[in-house]
Amino acid sequence: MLMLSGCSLFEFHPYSVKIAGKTDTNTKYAGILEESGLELPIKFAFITDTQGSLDEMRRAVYDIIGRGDIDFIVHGGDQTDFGLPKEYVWSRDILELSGLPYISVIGNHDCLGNGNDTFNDIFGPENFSFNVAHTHFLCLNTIALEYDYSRPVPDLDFIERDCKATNELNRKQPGSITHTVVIMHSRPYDEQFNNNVAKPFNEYISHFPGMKGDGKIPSFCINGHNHSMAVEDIFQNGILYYQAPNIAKRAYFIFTITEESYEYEVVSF
Amino acid sequence: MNMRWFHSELAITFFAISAFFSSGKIVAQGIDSVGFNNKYEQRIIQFDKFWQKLCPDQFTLQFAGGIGMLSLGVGWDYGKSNQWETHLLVGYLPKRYKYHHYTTLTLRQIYIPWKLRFGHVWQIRPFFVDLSVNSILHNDFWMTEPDRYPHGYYGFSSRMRFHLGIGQRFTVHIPRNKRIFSRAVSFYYEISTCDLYVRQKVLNRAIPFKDIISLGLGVIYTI
Repeated sequence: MLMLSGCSLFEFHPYSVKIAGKTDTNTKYAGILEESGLELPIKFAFITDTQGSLDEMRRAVYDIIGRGDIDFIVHGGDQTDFGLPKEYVWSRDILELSGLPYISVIGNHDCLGNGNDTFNDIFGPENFSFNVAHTHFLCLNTIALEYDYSRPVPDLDFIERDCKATNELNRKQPGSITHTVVIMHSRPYDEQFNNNVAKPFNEYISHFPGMKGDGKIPSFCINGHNHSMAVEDIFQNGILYYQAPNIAKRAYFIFTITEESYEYEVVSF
Repeated sequence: MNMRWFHSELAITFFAISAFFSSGKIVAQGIDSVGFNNKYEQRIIQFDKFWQKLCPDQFTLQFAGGIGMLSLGVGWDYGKSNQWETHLLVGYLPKRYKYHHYTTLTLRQIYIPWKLRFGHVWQIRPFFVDLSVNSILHNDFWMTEPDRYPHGYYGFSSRMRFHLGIGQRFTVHIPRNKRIFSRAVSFYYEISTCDLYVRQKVLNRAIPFKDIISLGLGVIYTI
């Protein structure tokens, strides 16, 4: 029976599948990026809400490879439609095609059934951060509705700890982090977000490096979930939320972080 | 909502098991009353026949096939040439990665159009098709969306899966004098897919066919 279980054709259940290939990719690729020694300016692509549109996602990845100037890919969650392990594997394998490091936050569809566990297996942690080229990337689970608000989502304790550590780094070595990019699936005041803590969330976020200043601030937030493009200063404090459309709409964002600021472009493919 | 479905799933299992056990008792009562009351006797015989029909004819053990690692169940065959079968299986999914252990329940309807008999012993059913409704009995999976979601938020049931399968069955008929547990033992294999896989395959041609199918092996004892 053990031998039979090894054969992938003998599937026990759509929600209990033997996962082949890379696991814990968020930890691995965040580590690779931290070690990469990349210097500003850096360029990353932001794609989101695959939700079964694998053919479009593959086209997007080929488009990204074709450009040749992208350093890594950020996925905004909803890798899957139904939280099935196979859907996760299909999506991950397309990201692998790029040959670039990629990281992903969790989306609400990814949680369906036991999908949250599968996310933890394949992509790894839901809340994590890493530094690359003077930029702090803060990746957060913001889909509070999925847990019926029974878990601390967004995890303000995690954000506080991370904020302290990042500012401490700047205190020891001034100028080591000049930008912060916050990546989340649903943004404040979405139905998925725990809107009771929307303002505290904003308060915590605003203490990260580069989140305050006159004029265009060098830090920003990116999110998916709503399947439409939007750039909005939700809290009227200069922190912009860039919302990318779902991949089925054949568009993604490219962000270029420069020494002083950043630029973004919308790529249609 | 979840608990109500869970209860109804348990009720189906209980019904099948109690039908099996209670049929024996009623036969015994029927014999006691021989020769006393003809109408009563006939009524009891009818009653017995009814329960006899509910008594399963088959016991099934299946490995994999998308409904559990191991599924154990009972089955009924009926129709002019026993071309229809209904099976009720309880499956087990072991702990894997971070998941829990799961118990599943499957109701399966099988249609067997042809049977080929080779001598007294061998019989082959060269093709069968089955439709299964499978349910994971765990609160992480819901039949209808919990109330916290806006109406029609996801529009599917994570708990109920529909599997469509085809396969072949090979039967060994056991001679009368050698029977111990059953009069026939059948071995089958089944290739199946489930509703969500079909949807994703239709939307994405690039998904390899082998990714959406599952192979199951099984044995059926016919009593």
